[in-house]
Amino acid sequence: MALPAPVQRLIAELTKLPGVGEKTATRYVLFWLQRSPNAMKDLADRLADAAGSVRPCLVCGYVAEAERCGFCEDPARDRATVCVVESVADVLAIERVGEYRGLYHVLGGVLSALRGVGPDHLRVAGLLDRVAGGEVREVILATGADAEGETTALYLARALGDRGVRVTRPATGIPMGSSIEFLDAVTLMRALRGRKEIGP
Amino acid sequence: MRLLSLDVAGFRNIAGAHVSPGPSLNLVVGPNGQGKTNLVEAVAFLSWLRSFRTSRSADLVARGGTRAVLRAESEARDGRHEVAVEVGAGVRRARVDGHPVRSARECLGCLTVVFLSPDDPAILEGGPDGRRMLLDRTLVLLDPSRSLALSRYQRLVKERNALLRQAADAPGDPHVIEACEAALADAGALVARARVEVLDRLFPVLAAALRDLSGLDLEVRARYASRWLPGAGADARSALRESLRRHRPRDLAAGHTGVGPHTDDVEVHLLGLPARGHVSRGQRKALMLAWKAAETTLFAADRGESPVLVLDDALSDLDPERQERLASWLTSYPGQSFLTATTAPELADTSVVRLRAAGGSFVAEGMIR
Ligand SMILES: [Zn+2]
Repeated sequence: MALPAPVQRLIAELTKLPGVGEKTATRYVLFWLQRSPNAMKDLADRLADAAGSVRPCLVCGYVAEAERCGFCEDPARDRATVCVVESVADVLAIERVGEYRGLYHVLGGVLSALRGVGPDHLRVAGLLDRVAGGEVREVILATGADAEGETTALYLARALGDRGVRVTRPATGIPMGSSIEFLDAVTLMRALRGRKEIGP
Repeated sequence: MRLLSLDVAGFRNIAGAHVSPGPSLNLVVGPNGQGKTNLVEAVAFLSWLRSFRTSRSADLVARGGTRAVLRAESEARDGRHEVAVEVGAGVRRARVDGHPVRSARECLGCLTVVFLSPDDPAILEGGPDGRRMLLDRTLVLLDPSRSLALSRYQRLVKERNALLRQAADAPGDPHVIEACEAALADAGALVARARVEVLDRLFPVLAAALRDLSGLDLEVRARYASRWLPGAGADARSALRESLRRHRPRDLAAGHTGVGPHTDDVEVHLLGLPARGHVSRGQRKALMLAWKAAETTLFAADRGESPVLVLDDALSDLDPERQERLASWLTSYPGQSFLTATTAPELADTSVVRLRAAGGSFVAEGMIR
């Protein structure tokens, strides 16, 4: 006898998660089902909490509980420096190093014509607005070192070209093809320290 | 570097075979259709994670099966390794020493195979794409990290082509294609400069190998033919960027990128004449053998160990004297080698192992360790 339809729908939903196949999804669901009658209800509550209380920061795109995120509200952060990254996971990776004191800008992806992602699908306009605000003096383009990450950095360097900000890219030691999220702390620290100015 | 043992299961006509090759020349002999080529294809697959005969995984799976499994134990300078591969329709999984790997770059250090397929000599006659592929294989063999620049370049050409097609419908932000071209020029300059560098290193060694294999002093030369690449010393990156910009109107109309390393060619000249159209079948074969021999020499010079050399059906199209020369060159090859043939050449060397193929099974004769 096949599993009831609601359980199957839940399994199908979970397979949308990165790295989760049908087998793993089924294991998760069976775990919840067997744990206690309330386990799934608790999970549903957590999900509803999160869904109801967080949203992308209106300024930088990081996860926020209000209009602006903790970084953007923190008076101790250096507001003259903005580090542009592909995803929230990249912010977490850079924060793990614990050295960067500036603000972030989460693009929400990278340019890829093949996947139909253009500048309008990313938080590019927001970045240009922030820079136009006048407070920003340096923009660090910390997109990945793969083809799309490189193209996105070159694109942003051009778009920011005539706005009077210093545009840099972490260069030293990032192996070709790697994404920021998966770099070890030492490599990431060296790359951020050794950032170089890039022209349009 | 050598293969200590090889297990093949469900791969083409090989239901299940275990082979322990000898440390020097291994002659894989038997009538056609008995699995000789399939066995050496498996050896090459374990190194490059791809077949040089087909790009369809399904072709590799034995009829009626769903998965082919290959496993090799190899010995390199840094120790022993185990490479395992599973192939099926839409499936290609590889592990080196138990760790999953995604590209040949990660396998080549543990088991490096230089492979000559019977179709390779025709590359000299065909279109430029075959010769680019041949040279790119040499690039990656000598420095596996170059596969990153190559695949990045290929990816960016596809990106630019997609942008060109999108722009035909609605012109978008011009910075996007400019950025793509800048990235493309970075990767393309790396690829082209590496190709020229490798070609310059390869050909003097190839000429010497051709002398050994043919017994004739045939003047052989190669030129990297490119419509955009400036001479050594000039800035290749700026040149490609400029060419892409100039080509853009034409490319917009065509919907694809018409200039760059993916349109370049390798012109081979034998005795001053272009190899394309002017050389015999036998000469083409000798040239390709010399190319592969030169690869092994350069690899050994860089790494201090010889790659495993696999020659599939290398004796055909050679006259008896050249066959003898090849056989004697192979017996003095410093590393491990495999040669497939319908009839085994007479070789006095006692270290030669004969693997007799029959119906997808292989029986070792001669020295076995
Ligand atoms: Zn924020």
